[in-house]
Amino acid sequence: MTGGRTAYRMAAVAATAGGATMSLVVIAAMLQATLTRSADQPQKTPAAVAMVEALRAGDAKGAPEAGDNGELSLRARQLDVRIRADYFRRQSLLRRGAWVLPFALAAFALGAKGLSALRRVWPVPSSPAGDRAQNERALTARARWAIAGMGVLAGVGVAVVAVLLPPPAGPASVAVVRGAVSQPAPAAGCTAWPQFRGPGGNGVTAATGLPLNFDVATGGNIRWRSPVPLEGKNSPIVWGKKIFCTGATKDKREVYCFDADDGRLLWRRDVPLPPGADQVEVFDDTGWAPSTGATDGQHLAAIFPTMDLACFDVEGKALWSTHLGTVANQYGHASSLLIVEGKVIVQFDQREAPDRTSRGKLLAFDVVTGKKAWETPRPTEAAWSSPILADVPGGSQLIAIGNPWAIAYRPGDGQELWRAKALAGDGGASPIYAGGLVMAGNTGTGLSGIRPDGRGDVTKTHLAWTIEDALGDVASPVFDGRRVYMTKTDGELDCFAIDAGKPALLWKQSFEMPFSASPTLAGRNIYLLADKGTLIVFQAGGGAYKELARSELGEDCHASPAFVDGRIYIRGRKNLYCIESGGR
Amino acid sequence: MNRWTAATICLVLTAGGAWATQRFRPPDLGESYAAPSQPAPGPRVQAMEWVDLAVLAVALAGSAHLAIRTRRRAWAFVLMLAGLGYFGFYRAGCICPIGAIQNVALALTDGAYAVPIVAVLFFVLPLATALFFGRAFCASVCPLGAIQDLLLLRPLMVPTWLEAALRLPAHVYLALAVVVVANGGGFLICRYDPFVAFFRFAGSLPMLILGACVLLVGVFVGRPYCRFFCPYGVLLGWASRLSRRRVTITPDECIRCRLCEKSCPFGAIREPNAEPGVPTPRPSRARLAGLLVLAPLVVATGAWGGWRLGAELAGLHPQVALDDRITLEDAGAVAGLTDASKAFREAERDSESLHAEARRIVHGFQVGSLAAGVYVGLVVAGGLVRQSVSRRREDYQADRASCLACGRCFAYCPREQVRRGTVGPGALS
Repeated sequence: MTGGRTAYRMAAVAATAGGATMSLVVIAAMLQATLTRSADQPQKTPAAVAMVEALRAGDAKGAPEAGDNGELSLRARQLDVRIRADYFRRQSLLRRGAWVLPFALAAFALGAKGLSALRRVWPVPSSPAGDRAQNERALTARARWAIAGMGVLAGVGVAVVAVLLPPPAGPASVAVVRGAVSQPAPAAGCTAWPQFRGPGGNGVTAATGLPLNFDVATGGNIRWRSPVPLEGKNSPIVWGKKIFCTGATKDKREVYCFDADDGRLLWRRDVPLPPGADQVEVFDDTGWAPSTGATDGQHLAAIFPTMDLACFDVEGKALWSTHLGTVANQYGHASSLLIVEGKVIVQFDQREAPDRTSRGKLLAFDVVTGKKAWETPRPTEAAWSSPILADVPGGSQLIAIGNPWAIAYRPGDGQELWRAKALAGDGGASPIYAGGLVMAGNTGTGLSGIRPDGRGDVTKTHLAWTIEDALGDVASPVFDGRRVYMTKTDGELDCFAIDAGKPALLWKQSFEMPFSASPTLAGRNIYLLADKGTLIVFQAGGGAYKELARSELGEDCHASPAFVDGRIYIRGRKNLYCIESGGR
Repeated sequence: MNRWTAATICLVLTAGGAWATQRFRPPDLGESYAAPSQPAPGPRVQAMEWVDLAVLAVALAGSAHLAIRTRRRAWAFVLMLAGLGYFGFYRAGCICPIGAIQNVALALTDGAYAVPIVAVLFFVLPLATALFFGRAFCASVCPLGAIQDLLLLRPLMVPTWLEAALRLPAHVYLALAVVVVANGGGFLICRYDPFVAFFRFAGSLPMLILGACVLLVGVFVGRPYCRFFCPYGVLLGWASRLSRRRVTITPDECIRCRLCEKSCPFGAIREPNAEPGVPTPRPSRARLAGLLVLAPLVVATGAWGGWRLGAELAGLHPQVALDDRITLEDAGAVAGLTDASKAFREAERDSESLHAEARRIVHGFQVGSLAAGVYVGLVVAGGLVRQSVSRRREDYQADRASCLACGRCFAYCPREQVRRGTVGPGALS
């Protein structure tokens, strides 16, 4: 053996042995750190459990804060520090192990490969090759049997599964159950208000037990009040025990999450200004945070007039953001967001430039990755209304309106389904889908009812009715199954009956106050929130206006409230309120 | 300084600015708060995707050059380690051409999906290379192949006849992956990548165990994932069959010395099936006719099986899984709520429209699975037919489809040793 070969062999042996030893040591250490983590839990020892119980008992009796509880408290803190230190020590060990292990394994593999190469014995064929043609015949015969065997194996596997499967489709238990279920069970309560105007975007809530009034001075029916750091005219949205909203000034933009039970600000996140943000101008009545965000319970999407779309998880972790470019919109972008089938929908309406360098569009972004899923151009002018998802028989439709069209899109790919010329001029009112009709319009045309089963331009074929000169320029309508209610900025409330397919004015009511927030139907009551902070509750139905209650918030309000689980969340100019029967 | 130099400097400076971009500014928590180091990786600038593509192109060119022109296994091994380091550990196994199958399949079936151009090029480049130079990607670029190759210490030969049958799972896997992704069921190949957990130093325990098992088998059986499961290997095999130039065992002529017979741990060397000057016996026409008659039956069986399995496969789609769950919950057949069903109920969505949507998806899966069944049936029938019409071979040859272009066989060929000058031409006599 030459000297070079000996050295090569020694190096290979050393790498193999060293790599193997190091790998085993690291694997053992990582296993020990992982396996003993669940076994060694000082917080579950009888002494620790008794200590925690004692501390809790002290709290329940209204004893002083645990921090003042002397020795017991000190011991609890020491235990806590010990547990945390142990956790981080293990994490650190696992992290280092994960880095060292690949190198150790690589050393082992390369050394072993080197040794393997040294041991390689060059072949010395001794026996004759035999009859090659016969060898080939034997080989291909075996190969045919093997392929056939594999095919039969696959076929038998499929047959076994297919026999177990009942026609038509789906797992056996589901198919059996599906045959037995005639009516779906009602949804388990209303604990979410995931977008502007709630589920469906129609301004209808299933929440019950809502209070009719409140008193700020005495705290009556007010569960809590929390200051919102920055102003904004967007509405609060709710998922479970979390309330989300945004606030902004010309120089700063933030997203907030409040605790629904006590109003604590759980987190606030800054959304940085994009380059050129100082060039963006908005109308004072619109403000810097007019668009309501949307949540699906896992993600929160928010958008600002600078056209920055940002997405967080509900714990406040920034997931992605994207700048959509400048928008040609004289009042500033104000459309709210919608999350549909894992996509964030953005209604990006703007003035169309003569050279078409700017034009309206509907955009969808993957809520997880932020990648654009689809984009559909819109033949509309600048608009401030928000899109809704209509559960139309035959498939859901995205409805987005902007001068002069009300347009329906397929949510999956943004393909346009139908359009109706139902608007003229500016408008901020959003459409609703109720009673089998899409109700859409603006101040220029009034409100139109559109049958959503058409394709193409349905202006002449699917407009069921139009109520002229009825819709306000900001607030959206609400429908109680037979009547549609609309408020105007000048303080007028109109009620039209849609009983016989043709609308007829039932009554008008004038208030000495303008409305920006949209009305909400809760059971048989409708809640109106005036700009100066007056909450008015009146009875839906009947031939005349019947007011049930009126309360004063004491500060300006422009956002539509959220109605969830017996509570009303109202965003004022400075504060967020939780209104609940019985209050705190 | 000419204007091209100035332009280059400007471009570099601009790119530097892009690297420094942080989309979310850290919150202002006061001066006393020491912000921890960024726990998540920073945003990857888009330009880096093109760098990945450039690295792929260079590696493919290098691999093809080493396998066909210089015929150097040692340098191919070094390039393989570099590929493992870059595409495996540095890029954490993503993006890779194997997974890019799904991007392309989704783009072809879902008009709303905007497929990244880099993903398309990652899919196309290795195939185009295979079309001209054989499976250069498998040889020295693919990190999945490299990690198995590195641990191949005691190779055992899988009989050629068995190998022909064991390739069927790769075809099934390819068909299933395309059906699932085309119907919105997710990226199956990425989800069940056995090695990505190693590349990322993180993964679920089942995937770590699966990866460890594959690597353990790979100590004795050369690249088991590549040969028997890799869906991209199926496509590369097809392209390689048509390749203009490919790896040859001998640099010039085969002297039928049989020294290379057992040199390929991947079973890609085909022995001669005829002696020079001796006519090849005709294959059995009756058997061939019988197999051709049987082929439609095999294909029909595959189609039926695919159709019946479609509904089960549809359970991978979140909407279908949710619909099943909602149905069971409504009927009281299961207790409690899952996260998805809870979210569905809290959003007050209509279960009928969900059911209608799920039925549409299930139908899509059934149609796709039917096509997949037809494809698998064709593969089985085609395999049977191919084993009945073998081509005449008088030399030892690397199989066009299954040769991974690793170059292990070079050193076994005496003609190669003559070419390298390690032995004189007279030694062969």
